Amino acid sequence: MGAKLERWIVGFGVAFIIAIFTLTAMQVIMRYGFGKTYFFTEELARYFLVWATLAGTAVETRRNGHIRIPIILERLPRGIRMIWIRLLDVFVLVLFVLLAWLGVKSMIFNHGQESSGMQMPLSIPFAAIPLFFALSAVFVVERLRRRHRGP
Amino acid sequence: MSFTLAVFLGVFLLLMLGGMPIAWAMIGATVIWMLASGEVVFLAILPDRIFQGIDVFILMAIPLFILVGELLNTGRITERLVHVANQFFGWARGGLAQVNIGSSILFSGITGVALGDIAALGRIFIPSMVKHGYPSAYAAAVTASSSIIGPMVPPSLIVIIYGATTGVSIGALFAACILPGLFVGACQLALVRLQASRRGFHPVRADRSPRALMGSAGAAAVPLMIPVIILAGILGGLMTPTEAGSVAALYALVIALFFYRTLKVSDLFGVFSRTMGFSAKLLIIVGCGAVFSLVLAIENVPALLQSAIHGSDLSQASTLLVANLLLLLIGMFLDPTAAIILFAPILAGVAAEVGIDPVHFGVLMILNLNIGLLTPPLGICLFATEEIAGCGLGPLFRETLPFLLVSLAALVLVTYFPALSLWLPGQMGLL
Repeated sequence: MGAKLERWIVGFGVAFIIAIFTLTAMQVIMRYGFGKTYFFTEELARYFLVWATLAGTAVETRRNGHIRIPIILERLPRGIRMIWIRLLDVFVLVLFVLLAWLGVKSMIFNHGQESSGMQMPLSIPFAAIPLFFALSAVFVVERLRRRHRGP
Repeated sequence: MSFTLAVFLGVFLLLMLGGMPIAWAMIGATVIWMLASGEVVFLAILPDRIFQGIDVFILMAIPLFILVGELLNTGRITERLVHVANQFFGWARGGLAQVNIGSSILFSGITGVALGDIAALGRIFIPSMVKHGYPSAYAAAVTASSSIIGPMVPPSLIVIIYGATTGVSIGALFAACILPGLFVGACQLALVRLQASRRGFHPVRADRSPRALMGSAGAAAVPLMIPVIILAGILGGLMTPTEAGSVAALYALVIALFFYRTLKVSDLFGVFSRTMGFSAKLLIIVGCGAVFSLVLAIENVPALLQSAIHGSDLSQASTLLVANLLLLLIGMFLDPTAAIILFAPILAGVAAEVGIDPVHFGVLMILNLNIGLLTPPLGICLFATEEIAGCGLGPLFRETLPFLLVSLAALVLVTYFPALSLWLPGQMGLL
């Protein structure tokens, strides 16, 4: 299930990156080629950046790819290391659940406000926070279950 | 220092050095601080701070610059640049080591990340140098040491993060980093030349007739237009760094797909996917850094540091020395992105207080943190090249030491001769 979910998130993340690339390139081409500027391109591209970042964050959580300093951890005795890694995973899980829950509250709060350019309800861009932190939490649970079952 | 600030910093260090991803260590320490200080009301703004930390126009340049590097790597255009560097730099003694450094200078205009340089060039140069009789630790040391030039010569992701964090002009920073970056490269080339005579490293054989050199320069001109587009676009005031990144990515896509035809449409999903993953790893630290800096601001850390500097009555020269030592220490433990997010706003403020030019200080911070990539205990570039060379960290560090000393000597000159950094942006009217 985790792998399938990851593939879906990667698909969405790739679409967001393509959208950023297309919108920013279009902005330059339209300005210098046709003397036109669109009010929505910058704002939309910024929101895609947030969505792409959080989608990538969930993916890297599953791949265990986030930037970290593992040097001390790697030198711990195996038994202590395994306990410490599980403790860190549980702590990260608590943080993700907290951020997803706070994100839902923030999304509801921001629903009444509109973005300055496109007049879009701000709950739409803000939805990335609860969605992808919830998905990241799912991936941490998956990792904890895998570790519990053993190699 | 207040009790809650001590708890905050203690928890952050424990989590970060304990192996938790840096972004989550920042959030974890912040949540613990809120609980310890009774400021749980701030919990509600965590998602907004993360969102606002990422929702910054200039930061869009990061995935776009990474995309440029991915397109050129996957399209094997990097290998063409290596061939050109071979012809132009390989004639000297220690030719292959010189080519390695020369390629880093050429390639630096394309990726702007030290690890990107190692990933692309290390796998080409380390096996090749070993095949030509260089000790594997030396090959890894040259690759690791030259990779720190990349983030100095534009376009550089670190410069964008520094500019976005401190509000210093990115155009001015790009221009200011060029000469110090080239200077570090020149110092490393001179060191290799000295070592080559002593250790008997030979030049690389290649056709260096005027015709071959012209042909080679012509072939290199196509990919080397990328840094030109970016620099001319930004420094000429035609484009923002984000727009320059998108135009450069479009150019890289066109040359890789249609000019060289080394990139297939089927490769593109992987290119975009890797761009997303790498960007996310950097940008989530930026987003979580916005939360972390909120705590530092509430705890009044910038003002505390500034009053400490005032109280110590240090001269500008002494402040620069202390700043260098502090930054080297930070660079020994922290990834440059995280270090800039955490410390740049505070230290840049302190530097401005004692009259250090903000652009000059930006160059110093970036150079220091890059040198930190070569130092134990957390020299990421050393680990990355050791993984390719398999030479052991001990021998690798012994071979890296002369390069580290040369880079530190270059740092001293860049520190005390601000003109090295400020002359070029001054000439361009960017200061």
